[in-house]
Amino acid sequence: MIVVDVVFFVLDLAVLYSVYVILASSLNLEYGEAGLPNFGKAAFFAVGAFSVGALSVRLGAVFVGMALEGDFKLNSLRWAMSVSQFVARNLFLGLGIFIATLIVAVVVGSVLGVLASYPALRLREDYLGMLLIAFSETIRIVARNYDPLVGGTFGAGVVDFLAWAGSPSREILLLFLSVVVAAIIWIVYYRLSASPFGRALRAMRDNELATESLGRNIVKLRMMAMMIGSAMASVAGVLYAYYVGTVNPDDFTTSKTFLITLMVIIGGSGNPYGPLVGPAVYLAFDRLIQFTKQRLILPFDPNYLSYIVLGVVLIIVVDRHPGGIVPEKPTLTLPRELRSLLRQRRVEETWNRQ
Amino acid sequence: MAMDLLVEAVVYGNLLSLLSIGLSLTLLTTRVSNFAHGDFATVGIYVAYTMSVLFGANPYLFLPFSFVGGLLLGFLVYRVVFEPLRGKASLVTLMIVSMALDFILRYSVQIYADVLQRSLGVYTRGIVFKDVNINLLGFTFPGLLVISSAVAWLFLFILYLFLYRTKVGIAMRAVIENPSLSEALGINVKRIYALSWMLAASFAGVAGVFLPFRITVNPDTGFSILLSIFAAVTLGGLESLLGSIIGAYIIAFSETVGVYYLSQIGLSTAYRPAISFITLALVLLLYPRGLAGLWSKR
Amino acid sequence: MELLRVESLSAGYGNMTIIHEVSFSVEKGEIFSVIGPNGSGKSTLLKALFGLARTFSGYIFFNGKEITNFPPHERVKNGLGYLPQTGNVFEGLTVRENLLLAGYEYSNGELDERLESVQEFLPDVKRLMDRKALTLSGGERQMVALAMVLLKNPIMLMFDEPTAALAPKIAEEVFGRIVKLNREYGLTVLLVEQNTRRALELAERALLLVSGSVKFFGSADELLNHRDLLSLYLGL
Repeated sequence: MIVVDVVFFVLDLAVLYSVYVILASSLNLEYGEAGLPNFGKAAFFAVGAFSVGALSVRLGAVFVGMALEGDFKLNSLRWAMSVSQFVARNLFLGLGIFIATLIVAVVVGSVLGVLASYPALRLREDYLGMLLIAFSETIRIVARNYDPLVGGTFGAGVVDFLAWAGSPSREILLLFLSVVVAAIIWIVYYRLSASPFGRALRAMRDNELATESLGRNIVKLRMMAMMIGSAMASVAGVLYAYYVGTVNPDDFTTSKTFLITLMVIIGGSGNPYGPLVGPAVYLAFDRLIQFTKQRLILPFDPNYLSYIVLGVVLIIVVDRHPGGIVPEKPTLTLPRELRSLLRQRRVEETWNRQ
Repeated sequence: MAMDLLVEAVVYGNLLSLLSIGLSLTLLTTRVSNFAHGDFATVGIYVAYTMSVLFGANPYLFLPFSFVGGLLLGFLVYRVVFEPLRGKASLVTLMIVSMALDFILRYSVQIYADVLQRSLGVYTRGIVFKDVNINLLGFTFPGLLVISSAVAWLFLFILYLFLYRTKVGIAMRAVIENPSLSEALGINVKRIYALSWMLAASFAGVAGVFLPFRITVNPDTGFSILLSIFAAVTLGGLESLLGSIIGAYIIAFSETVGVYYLSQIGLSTAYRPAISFITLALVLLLYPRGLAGLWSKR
Repeated sequence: MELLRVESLSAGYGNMTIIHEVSFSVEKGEIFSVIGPNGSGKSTLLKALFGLARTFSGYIFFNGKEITNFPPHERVKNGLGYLPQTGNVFEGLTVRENLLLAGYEYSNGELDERLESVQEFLPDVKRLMDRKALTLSGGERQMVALAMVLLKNPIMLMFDEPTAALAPKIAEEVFGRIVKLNREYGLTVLLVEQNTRRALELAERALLLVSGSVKFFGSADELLNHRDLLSLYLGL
């Protein structure tokens, strides 16, 4: 019994950490490097999950020749279980469903990311943030109410693409998959950050005019950053959906975006190691609180505490150590005075009228 | 039917106007897009609710407590969170700090709700207040309509008097326009900033008390209407107090009437929030100066 | 008697130093001009003297006190007045409201008294009282800004290019007022000006600032006749 508990605990922690690392990396690329406050992050996360939620059952049914009669909302869970039974006998069916939904997720996510990069041209940064939040909430509202998509408030059932592996092999496979995918994505992010593309993004973040005058296409840079970031978030959504087994629109609220944002800032928004640190801090607090909750008797649900602690930590970090736990390392290309001046200029724009 | 809709729209407008003017104020003075603003309203609700449960009286009577609670909360939030960051943080960083503040406030209220339930044995989620009827001039009006209108318009009028007829209020308008000149003239800018946050939070607290009279309230109710508040402020033109008031009533009427039409064409009324979001998006993308762009020369 | 003494002042914004090791002094009752080419740091010097720019090193002594680290409103209390080129009035407020704010720390009675004496010097202000500052012409705005600074009863007034963007006739009016303030009311004047000739004609002593460093400090007449310096740095 204990062994199973431990396996599930480790699996849960590993998958969540992987998902958050991917999400934090994507936001770090968009905001930390490129200066785009993508506060619609939850929507791009959702796109991946919704692709799985909407398609895994339907695709699976097509592949096995099963007819789906009735309401998606009422039957998706049952249908998911039926398809999973087919998968239990056919490894390739499972992999096929997984890969197909992953491709759809990445494509849709990327397209949406490109679209979302256009407003960035004309809006001041805080207004852009607001717009993206509005966009994110709209997607959630639509998914919540348009039942055929992901079953509205009931959510959608997801096919278990690893049904052919028995426990605990299934869990271990899922764990490895998440960790490997997260590692790959993080390494890609790290490489991008250290590449000329990364330098161009940071230059654009610090001073658009100068970057443009040096011949860099701002529009294209933004588009690329958002596209890659959104594709990453989408992948996280796919992993999350298959892990949880169902997809519910209420899981992808603005609060989720806030959570990721806090992780990114606490971890360190300009530094590639930041996305590894931020989620670790949150999950550490969260698990610690879960652990001690069994020892203490509290008159309230201690899960709330993780959020409060995270909020307090962020405020302290911004006040005392604004770079985050791992601050951005200075580029070797700009002289120190110029970099400070650019940073100071950004701060002054907040506090002065033009 | 039309009468009900009208009443609903006016009440919602009263609420939103108190909320949007506060959000506008803190945006104009300290440049913070405050994602915790909705939670100021939630605190107001729970203050009034706690008192009404403890003393067994109608929540309307505890409006002053919610007001004072808001004053204290606003002061604390500004001094502890935002004043240390003055001159040090960018616009987006301030937004992110307000997100952290939202987490802190919202989940603190959740904890408070749990504790209150445990200790007093009352329901602290799904709160609803029962309205009273008021008889005026031979007609019977819902108390919510009369009281929310009276309170909202009184507060807005007092705010107007404050900003245009008192030295401190004029100083606040000056600080909004040019903080360094204000500083040079000897105006205590820090105090003005603190005052703006106190006003914003207290107005929100009072507005909050009206919420349980029209919908069931939970610790995250304030947060859930935050985007309507932002839509109202954006529609008004993000840098205009008058604009936010007008924007608030427009959003209120649009949402109320819009929901009615949604049901007529067979779409779920749960699409209601989309009205605000779409308004916000359209204004930001097409005409960012908002309504204020129509009368402002600058 | 020395009213202002600046010793080795280095100042700027953020981490960037604009003026380097500037030293000079201003005598009580004189008009002192600061001239130099564009971008030489003249405005930054005034801002530093007033407390709106960052001081990296050096000292500022005013009226017997060391004010190097005083915040702006403290310097105002000690009698230092500053009239910047822009942002010197609140555009969205009426002239009356602007003056009210300039007299923020005075009681009603005291404010009325001061307002009266300022209006004696600048009688045109009276008719502009209810106009929004945004609607005023450049010259009118200058006048209101001056009224606001005078309300505080300064001993020394620092002007940052007061005649920039003004028609020559209005510019002469402004110079006339400055001279009157100095000769009749005994105010010490520190004048930063682009109009080098007029600035040096009106002043007793002057400072030539180039790229943030002092190239000349002394008699204004001497500088006015110093062909080499003037042509080298100002193309005159």
